[in-house]
Amino acid sequence: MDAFISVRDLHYRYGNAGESIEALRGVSLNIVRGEYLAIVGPNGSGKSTLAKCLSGLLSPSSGDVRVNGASTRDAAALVGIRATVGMVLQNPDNQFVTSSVEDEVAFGPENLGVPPAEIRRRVASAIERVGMCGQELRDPHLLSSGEKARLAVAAMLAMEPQCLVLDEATATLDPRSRGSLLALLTQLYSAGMTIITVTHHMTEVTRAKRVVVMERGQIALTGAPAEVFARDDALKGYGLALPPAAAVERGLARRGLELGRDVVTAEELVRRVVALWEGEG
Amino acid sequence: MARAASLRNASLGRFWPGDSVVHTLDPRVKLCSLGLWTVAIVLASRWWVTAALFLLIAAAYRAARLPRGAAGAVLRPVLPVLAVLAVSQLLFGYQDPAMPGADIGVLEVGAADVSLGRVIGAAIAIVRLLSLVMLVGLLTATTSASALASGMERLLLPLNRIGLPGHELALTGAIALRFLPILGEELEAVQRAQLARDITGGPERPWQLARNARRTAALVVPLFADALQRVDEISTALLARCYQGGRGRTYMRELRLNAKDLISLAISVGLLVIVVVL
Amino acid sequence: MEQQERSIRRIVTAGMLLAVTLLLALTPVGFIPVPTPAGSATIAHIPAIIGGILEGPLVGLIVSLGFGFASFLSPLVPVKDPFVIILPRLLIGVAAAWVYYGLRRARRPALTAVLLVLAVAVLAAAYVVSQSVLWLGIAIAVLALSAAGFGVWWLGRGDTAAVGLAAAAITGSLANTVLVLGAAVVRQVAGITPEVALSIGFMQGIPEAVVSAIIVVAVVSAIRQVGRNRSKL
Repeated sequence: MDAFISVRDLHYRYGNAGESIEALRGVSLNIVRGEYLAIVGPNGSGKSTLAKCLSGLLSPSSGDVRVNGASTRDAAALVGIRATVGMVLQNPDNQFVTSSVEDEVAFGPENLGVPPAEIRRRVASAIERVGMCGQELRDPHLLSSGEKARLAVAAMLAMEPQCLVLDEATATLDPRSRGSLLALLTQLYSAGMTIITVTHHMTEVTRAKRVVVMERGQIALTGAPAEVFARDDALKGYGLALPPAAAVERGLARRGLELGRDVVTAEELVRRVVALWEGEG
Repeated sequence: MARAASLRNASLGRFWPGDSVVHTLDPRVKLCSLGLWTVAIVLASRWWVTAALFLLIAAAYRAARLPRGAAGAVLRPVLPVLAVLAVSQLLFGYQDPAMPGADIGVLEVGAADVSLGRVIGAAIAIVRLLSLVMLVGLLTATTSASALASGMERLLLPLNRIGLPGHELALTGAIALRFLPILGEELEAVQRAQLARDITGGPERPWQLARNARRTAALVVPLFADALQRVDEISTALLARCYQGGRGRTYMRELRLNAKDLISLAISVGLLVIVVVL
Repeated sequence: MEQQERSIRRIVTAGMLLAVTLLLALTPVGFIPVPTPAGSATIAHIPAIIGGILEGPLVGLIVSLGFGFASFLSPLVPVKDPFVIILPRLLIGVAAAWVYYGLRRARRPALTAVLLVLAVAVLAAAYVVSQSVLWLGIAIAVLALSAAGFGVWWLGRGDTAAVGLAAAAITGSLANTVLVLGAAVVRQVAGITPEVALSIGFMQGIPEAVVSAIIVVAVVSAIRQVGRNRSKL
């Protein structure tokens, strides 16, 4: 399968010639269609910059990002890339520019020049997919933080993207809203959408099919969650914690009860403990 | 603190949803009418024209079938200003020499003598102020912020054809409308924090200039910083939503003028013409 | 594409400053109590000055226009004459932008020269005023001399960026005071005789100019500082 998004030796420098910070230093990565990818790393490791480069919001200082073969350096292709790889930013308050839910969802397709009837269809369908029917006329300012996050996703869905990039979109949410946003992502993923999520929450990372660990502007580790989390020492060096289930497994292992270092989710942990229990009993 | 609490829902005025004739008019017609009526109120030179305009606005309020208290909420902030206006008009106001009884003295205060003409002049100034405030109040009470923004955008759009940034202006206005309540909330939070640290507390002492200036700066500098720090992220968000200026943009809502809209517009234009001719 | 990003930044900056100006003009927060007949000095014109400084005369003009409309429609402002309330205010942001960008291109000797010319001009004005109202003329002269001394001292410290900001803020603020009061006199607003306008101008205009300078320098320096440490967009 050919790459949906391909990144070749990507460098990104903030600031001008005088004082500049190199946020990305040679990142190469292939993302296939329908993937669920988590990007993790300590603050300042360049994960947010990478996300913005993937969705064409920043253009590379050197190297190349291609989406469906089109480069983000090509100004003519940029609008198409931004619509294909939709970006949801961390603070919903700063990404809404209108005063009602339906206007907010319509804003993207309006910018793309979609005909009015088609915009109305897309708006209705996007609002339905995020479960906000009946709230079309509310002021985004008065929504709860969970509703704001889902509205931000709906605003992207209306542009009919093939991929969603979420830059710490769950960081400010309470547990219940985070749960409902993650359930929405899983649902979109099962419908074929490519999901890329930048996050600090290790439990969220376990939902992904692949993890990329960033460290000082470079990819330090990559692999399935079970593979990445099996490398405790390396992770500790990057200042990253283990998901709770893996931490419990390590604790049990130190007391002599080996369940396997590939345990990353609570469900898996329970399954193995029960299997062990029934095996003995 | 009543003053802080009122900022939470800062907006141009409260919107009361409804389905009256005034509510369902095209927002473009309402905005144009606001402009035409404002010019009419400012230009009206005769007392009975001013009074007639005021009565027409009052009639529009009835037609809008707003809940009790809507008009009161619009007028309450004007009351303190009315006193200042009344005193300055009574003492120094312009008198129309053509007005009957203009030279009848009513009372004398020091050097200034207040004639009947000045009393009527003050009444006209007050009615004019009330009319304008009620007119704006009627627009915001019957039009949602999103309808207002789309009306504004559609009115400004033709400017792009003659090379002016009409669409950009409309987006500027929409962003201002959207962030007004958010910044109001922010201001309230800063005010509360400083009240807790006793920076802004205490009675107003107008003669302590330095203290008053420091109090205000402590309140306003964080507000500016907050507003301007959002600019980066909002700009990125606009790019992410494929914003590319007004070119090639389409609209979800197709505004069409119907008979009701055209009649209202004709009435507003007619009104202005009558006022100008008189 | 750079062009596009510049334009978006301008729109967003203008929108945010417009929101601040509406907030200040429509609530009591934007007024500082002072001992004058009007009872308060305004700070609601500061967003227009900052807009002019950050993004140029056009953004300054748009925010000024917003401030003018807000004052015209505000229930807190009794005068309802657009030639007094809206039209003169259009120049606030534009004047601030011109002064700021003019001074930014200038070097230190030029700045000192501008300061001296201004001081001489104000002293001449003080002499004219002292012919009719002696104490007022002396007060203006003292203020002008101390302001010039302060400016020279500041330039000596090498902080010319702040001098440019302060000068732009004071110009924008005085443009507001002088033009609005001038228009009020010309349009014969009730109670505003030339003498009244002059005294309001000094009692209110000078505190407004000083407060504007303090706030503008604080805000713009802080924003520039943050900008330097972060991305361009």
